[in-house]
Amino acid sequence: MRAIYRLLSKIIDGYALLRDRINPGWSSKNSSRLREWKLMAYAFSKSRIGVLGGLIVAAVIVIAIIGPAISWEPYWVYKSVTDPRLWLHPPCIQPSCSEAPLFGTDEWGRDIVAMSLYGFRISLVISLLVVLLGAPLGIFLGLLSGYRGGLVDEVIMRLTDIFIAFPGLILAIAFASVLPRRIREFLEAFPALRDSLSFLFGLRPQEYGQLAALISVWFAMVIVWWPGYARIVRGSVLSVKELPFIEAAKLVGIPEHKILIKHILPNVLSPVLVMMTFDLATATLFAAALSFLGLGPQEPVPELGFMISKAATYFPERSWHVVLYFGTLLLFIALGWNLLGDALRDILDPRTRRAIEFRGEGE
Amino acid sequence: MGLARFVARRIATFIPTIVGVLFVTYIIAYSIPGDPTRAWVGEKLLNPEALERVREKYKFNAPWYEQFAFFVSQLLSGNLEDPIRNRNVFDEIFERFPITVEVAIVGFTFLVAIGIPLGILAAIKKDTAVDFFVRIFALVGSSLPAFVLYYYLILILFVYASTTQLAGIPMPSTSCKSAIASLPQSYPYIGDFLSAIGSVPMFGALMCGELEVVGETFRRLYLPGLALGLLNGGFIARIVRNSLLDALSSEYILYAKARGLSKLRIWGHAFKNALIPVVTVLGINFGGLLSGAVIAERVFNIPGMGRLMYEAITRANFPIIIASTFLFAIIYVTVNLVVDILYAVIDPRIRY
Amino acid sequence: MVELEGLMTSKHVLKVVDLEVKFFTYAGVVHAVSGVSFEVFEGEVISLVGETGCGKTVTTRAITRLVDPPGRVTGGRALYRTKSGEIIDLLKMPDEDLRRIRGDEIAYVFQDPTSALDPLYTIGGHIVETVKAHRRAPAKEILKHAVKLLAETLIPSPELRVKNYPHELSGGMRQRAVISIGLSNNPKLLIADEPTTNLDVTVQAQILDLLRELRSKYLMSLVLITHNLGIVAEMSDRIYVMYAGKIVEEGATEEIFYSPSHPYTSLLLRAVPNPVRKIEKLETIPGTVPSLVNPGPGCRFEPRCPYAMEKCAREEPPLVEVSRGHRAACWLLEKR
Repeated sequence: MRAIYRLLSKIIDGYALLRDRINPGWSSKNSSRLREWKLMAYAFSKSRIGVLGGLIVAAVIVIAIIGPAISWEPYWVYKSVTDPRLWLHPPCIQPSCSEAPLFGTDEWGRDIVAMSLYGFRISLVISLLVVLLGAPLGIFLGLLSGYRGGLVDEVIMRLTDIFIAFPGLILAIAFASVLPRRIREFLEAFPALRDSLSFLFGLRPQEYGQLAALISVWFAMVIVWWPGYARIVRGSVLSVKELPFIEAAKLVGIPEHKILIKHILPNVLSPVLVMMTFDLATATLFAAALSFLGLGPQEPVPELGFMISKAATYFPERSWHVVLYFGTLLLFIALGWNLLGDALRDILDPRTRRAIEFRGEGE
Repeated sequence: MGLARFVARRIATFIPTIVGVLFVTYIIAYSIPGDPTRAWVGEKLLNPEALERVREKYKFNAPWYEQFAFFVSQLLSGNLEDPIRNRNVFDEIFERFPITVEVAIVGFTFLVAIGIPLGILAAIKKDTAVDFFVRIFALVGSSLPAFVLYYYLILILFVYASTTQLAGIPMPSTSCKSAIASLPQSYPYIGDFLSAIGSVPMFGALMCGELEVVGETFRRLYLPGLALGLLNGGFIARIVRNSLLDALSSEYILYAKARGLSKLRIWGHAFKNALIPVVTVLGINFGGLLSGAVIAERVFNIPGMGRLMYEAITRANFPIIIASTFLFAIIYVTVNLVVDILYAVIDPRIRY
Repeated sequence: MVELEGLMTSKHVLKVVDLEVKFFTYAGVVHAVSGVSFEVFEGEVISLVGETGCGKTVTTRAITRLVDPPGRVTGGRALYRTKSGEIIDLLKMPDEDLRRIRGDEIAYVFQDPTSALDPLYTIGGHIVETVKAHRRAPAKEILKHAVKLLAETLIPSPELRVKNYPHELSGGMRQRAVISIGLSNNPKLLIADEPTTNLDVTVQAQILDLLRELRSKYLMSLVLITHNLGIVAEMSDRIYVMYAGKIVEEGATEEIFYSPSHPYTSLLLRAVPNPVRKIEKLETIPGTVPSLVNPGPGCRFEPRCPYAMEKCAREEPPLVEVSRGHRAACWLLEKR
């Protein structure tokens, strides 16, 4: 645990040095804030759940980044066509078995471990894209709505109400089923975009049809995701808005956008950060669910949820290993984010943070 | 009474939300790829004049507000046609709707039966092994994909232990069904209400006293119910635990002790106050239950609305997708309305 | 209980001896109340005076074991004479017997009525359950009694207010409601924590009159926690001055106001408008209340005391008698 604290401490120090380069004297002005961060890092290093979550997430990110590059089997080759023995072969443990990979193969005879290396990339990228784009959209609208009030507030709130009125998955299903064609046409018109997105997801540009499906899933999910953030941020803004220090800032003449960014946003940020971490888990499972229902990329892209969906037809006799393997992977990815979020929530709440600090040795 | 006025005002906001829902549904409907006419007509071979007539009928040549108005009228009057099966979309949906309600109710029952007692236990045994277990249970439950758990459970409880079946839905006898169907004629107003309730197979059987059917229903549906309880039970338990602990550490609880109230009454105070956040979360979770119905019905082969929607996805049957989306939204909005009213019943501060 | 009876005279209602309350927190053990002793006689009003954090509220709650973890009563006795004449030690009673004392024999008026009242229950509901916890009576009768109680505390339209929820009442009405709830079972001892802070002066005067009346009508004793010396002067028979978890001075009201013997008391009297003695200029007491985590061996007021001697930091002064019934804990008194 100490090692983790030292690592985080070094990162914080490095960040302070960087800020000092840009604005000299920054670190002395913000010394209390730096100390608070270090305390949070300490509290995090003491939380077993947090460290476990952090390790899992780090592992997932690493695998996701290098996965497609190190995978020993390309996902676009259907091996079982040439070698029928490889069709849904169960786990093959040496030395009694030698014709198939260790964990078994899927319908197309591909090593499921090799396929999962691609799957990690797809799941991670899509969950990050959804949260890192959907959350700020919601936050921005929430800030605007809460701070401005009046007509702007009414309109934005009505909009969120309408989108929240749909059960999430249902709305995403509806959008994800109507969008792929249009997005495909869009991608055809912009090959540069198509190629860079393919690279991002670890796919070949030839599969841009499946890429279109992925992008529709993303778009549908962003639509489902932003209202939650808008509501929470708006609520926070409303409670902070009336506090005297905001009024003081206004009286001194600080422009509105500065007040929003420098004074209101930091107060609102903690619960949002926690929510985003949890949402990364939710988004991973959500995207997998949409794929499971047939809305994401299809053959040959080995998206984790889609693989389970295909295996379902032969469950349980022939495909139990596929379902078990990919299911466990999804469990781990989501667990990592959830553990991290749980620990983060305890750390960012000053009351529980103090308790964690005192329980350990003072450093 | 403040409550009645609150209910009236709440119902009033129902309407604009429905209009909004209609509009979003419309946007989705008209984003359907390709020629919209084809989407409604399917692959039937029609000569160009027939196609043009359909186009006129559906106002695809008219400006968007006319289209919207027409779309709304069609939707509300229940006049959409399923191009693949050539039936009225709403007939199909309403056939399946009570079954999905049944699944949702069973799921919700398991959820509450697992989540609430566990949460109370975790609150009483705060900071002990039990509390820690509930925390882990919640974390794992929200990290496990639903469909994966379904398959695991099927493996254990169906393949190895044959405790359930995966086909069909137990129904009340035909005599029972016709009796319920004739209720609206004998008793105006309340007959319609009772008939609607009775269309849910489980309740219909209950009303006729056919308890074996009810038992069979549970045996058929307990697997998805149990799965839902395991997935979300931990989360509900944590909410119950936290809100109970918050309530118990409040000043009014100390004041209740200072007045010499019995332990039972003090717990009563704590419970009533703790109920509010729990009801909120249950209401939100219900939306998840509805969404989950699509996946659950696919995996467990249940002939409900969710399964219909899933089949529609695989066959690109857009009228069904649109109509189901709309209906799911209406159900969810109604449930939220009921939850809000329940709030106002529990918490008098809300009524203003 | 012969030995207990020896400590209590027939006029005693409550006698607290060497009360100790500690809070076991992550930051250390807080000695919130260290060896506090006081007594309340029949029909008298005593005041517990001191600044925020001196332990007045904890003391009164500790008597009936209303201290929640991480706090714990770690020593002392709280002898009480019930309405039927029995003498008991509140700190040693079984829980169920203690429950019967609370709300019936000893009633509390909490400082913040908004958080004390359960927002989901009506005022009438609060009174009904408080009465029903101690005697059998039909709700209808209790509600009539409740309306009378509300009227006594000068709440306008009590028949309507009894059916109201706390959020429908103004702050002042809530405070009066909490007083009514406290009186609902005719307690022998009423412990009121800042009962008139939120009320405007006229209502305050009327409430105080009411409490005085009740004292004589029902022979009810009153423990008043306050830092408003005006109320202290008007209402109390005797005063206990607390500082940092200890009693530093005690005595009859007039005695204390005219000849305060502890530096803290005299500073306190000079820091607020003194109703008894006119002072020209208000003074402040520099410094703040000390941390009670590991209190040193000496007098707790020493860091702020303008008369501090070398002995004061080393040894804690005991309570010594200044005159009959008037005691103070200060080394200056030894000199005299």
